[in-house]
Parts: sequence; C-alpha cells; structure tokens
Amino acid sequence: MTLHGLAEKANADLVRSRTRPECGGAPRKKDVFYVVRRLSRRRLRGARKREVHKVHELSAAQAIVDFLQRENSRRGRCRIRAVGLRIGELTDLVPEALQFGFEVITRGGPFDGVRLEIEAVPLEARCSACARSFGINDYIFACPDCGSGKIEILKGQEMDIGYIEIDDSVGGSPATTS
Amino acid sequence: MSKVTVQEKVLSENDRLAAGIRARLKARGIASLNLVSSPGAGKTSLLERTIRSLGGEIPMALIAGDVQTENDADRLKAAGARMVRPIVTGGACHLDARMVERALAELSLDGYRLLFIENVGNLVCPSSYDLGEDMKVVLVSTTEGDDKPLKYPGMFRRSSVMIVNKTDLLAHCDFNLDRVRANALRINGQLEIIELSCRTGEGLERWYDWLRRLVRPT
Repeated sequence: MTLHGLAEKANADLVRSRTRPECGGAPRKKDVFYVVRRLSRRRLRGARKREVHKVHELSAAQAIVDFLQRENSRRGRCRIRAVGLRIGELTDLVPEALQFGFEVITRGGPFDGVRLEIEAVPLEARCSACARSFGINDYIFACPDCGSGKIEILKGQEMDIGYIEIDDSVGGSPATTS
Repeated sequence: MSKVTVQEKVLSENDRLAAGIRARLKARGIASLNLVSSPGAGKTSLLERTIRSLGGEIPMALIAGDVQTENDADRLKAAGARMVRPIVTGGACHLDARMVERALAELSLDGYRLLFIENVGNLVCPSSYDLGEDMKVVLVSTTEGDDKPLKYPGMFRRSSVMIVNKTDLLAHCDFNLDRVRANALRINGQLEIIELSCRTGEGLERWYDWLRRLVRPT
C-alpha cells in the first residue's frame, strides 16, 4: 500500500472510531492531521531502512555498519575512529559513492564521524600457462607474455575490511584484543 | 589511537548465506544458474523458450527477480513452469543471497534438477552478490552495443557463459558478432559463447545441449 493509501486508511479508521458514540462524536481536524503525520514518519523511517539495499554502495555501507556493530559489542564499549577498506578494481564499487552512503546511514548514530580509509586495489593476475604474474591494464585479461587467456586473478576483486582504528582514551580495553 | 588488524569481507554475511545455499543445492544434486543482463536483453524470453522445450526433460525450478511487478514470474508460469517464485526487490538493483534463501524456503525442490535465478536487469550491481549459484550466465542482445563486455568487465569476467540473443535482428543493427566475441574473450578467455534468437529459435539447440551437459550426473 502506498504512503498515501496508508494515511487515508488511518484517517478513515480514526473517523470511524471518532464517530462511534462512545468515542465522543466527530473527529477534530487536528486529530486527522496528527495521524497522517505520525504515520508518514513511521512509514518514512521504514522506507529509509529498506532504501539501504537499493544501490549496491549503500548495501556495502550497511554491511560495514553491521560489522562495526558486531565489533563494538565484541570489544565492549570502545570508540572506533576509522575503518580501513581494500576495494578491488573489478568490484564496480565507487569509493566516493560508498563514502557518501556510509555518511548518510551513520548520520546521528553511534558511528557518525567514523572515517572510511579506502585503498583501491588494482588488478593483478597469474598466467596459468606460463606462470608469469602481471598487472592487468585496460581490462585486458590475457598474459602479456604468452597471450593465454587462462589466467588466475590474484588481486582486484576484493571488498575487504583490513583494520579498524580505535581511540584508546574512551571506554573498554580494546588495545589488548589485537 | 591503536590500529587493530581485522580480516573480514564487506559482504561476509551475503557470502556466508550463499555458501549455505550452494552446499544445500549441491547436496540435492541441483545445478543452479544466475541469469544476468541489462534490462530487455531477453532473460525471460530465453527462460520461456527453455521451459517449453526442455521442461519435460529437465525438471526446472525458477526464481524470478524484478524491481517491481511479478510479470516475469507470471510469464514463466504461463510457459508451463510449475515451480516459480517471484522476488520483488522493491527498488533494489540486485538480488542478494538473503532474498534467494527466503525464496528457496518457499520452493519445494524434490525431484528438480536445475534452478534458474533470473536476476534484476542490471550489469553492475548483481556482479558483486554471490547467490550460491554454480555459475553466472550473461545475456547480451544485438540491439545493444557490442562493447558491452568492455563496459561491464566485472560481470563478464565472473560469468561462465555469454548468450548473444536476438541474432534475427543482426541485419538491422550495427552490432557485430565478431567484435562482441573478441571483446568478451578479451575480458574472459574461458567464456562459452552461444548465439541464438529466442524469437526464431535459431541456435537454441546449442543452449539446450549445454544445459543437458550441465545436469548430466557425473
């Protein structure tokens, strides 16, 4: 049901309840608006939560927030200042979009202000035919020596969390857990 | 300040669920394919054809993902598929392992040999999400550019098969078959390439043979 439809239904329910004799007659306009507003906010909160899955950078940002929550509860009360990420060239993940998505979904919450330190990882491969290791430029996935297309990708596909930076001066005893 | 080293994948939760799905399907002897393409390349048409021609021979279950509507799932049912589950992502640009797991929970897979997961039409986002499939099959059509593999290397690199659909329109388009083959092989030298037309049926037999080999018990 659309937001509009939900608000309308809520209004109709309210009107019905208000017009029942035991509820004291017709609804006041103020009450109707109140329900619409309250419902809208609730719906919007829900929508924002679902929104997180819409763009893949936002899903990734949400996964990082989930990770931070796990780390926080595992390490006790500590203050995470930064997260180090390694993002491969072949992941189609745009660092700026990831940064932006992370800022949006952490705003006002416990991870507001946590820095994302993103290291872009270029593509590297090894030739399965002649065993040579090489960097892949311009997305040419072939051995520059023997020309074979049978290659194994060594780096450039990762979406890894490499480290977190913790402020030792706040809460817990995180330094001992490393 | 202290730096603590961690070893975790950003999408570890998705990967964990996908590994579970893969193990369960494998244990039941069900091959699974994740079908990806840009919108309108012909994923649903290919599945309709496949169901009609091969459904009696290879029992297949299908999960049809769409941003909105269950139209694709309805089309697959109309084509004769008995076990179809739609996933409406409500705006999300890709399927993830959690959605597939939920859909699988509502499918009864006894006796089925093959599972098709029709992804959302998108060549970017679905490439990062493992759904627990055996392999990805990517479709391009002749009404698109033949440089699609170069524009979306992540997807073509991670796919095992490339299907070129709408070959009946080749005469009317600037799409060049040799060029798309060369572009695709530059990104992925081991890509199996199958050219076909879901409209005329040309080339479909090769696709069916490939599927027969896939589900043949080893």
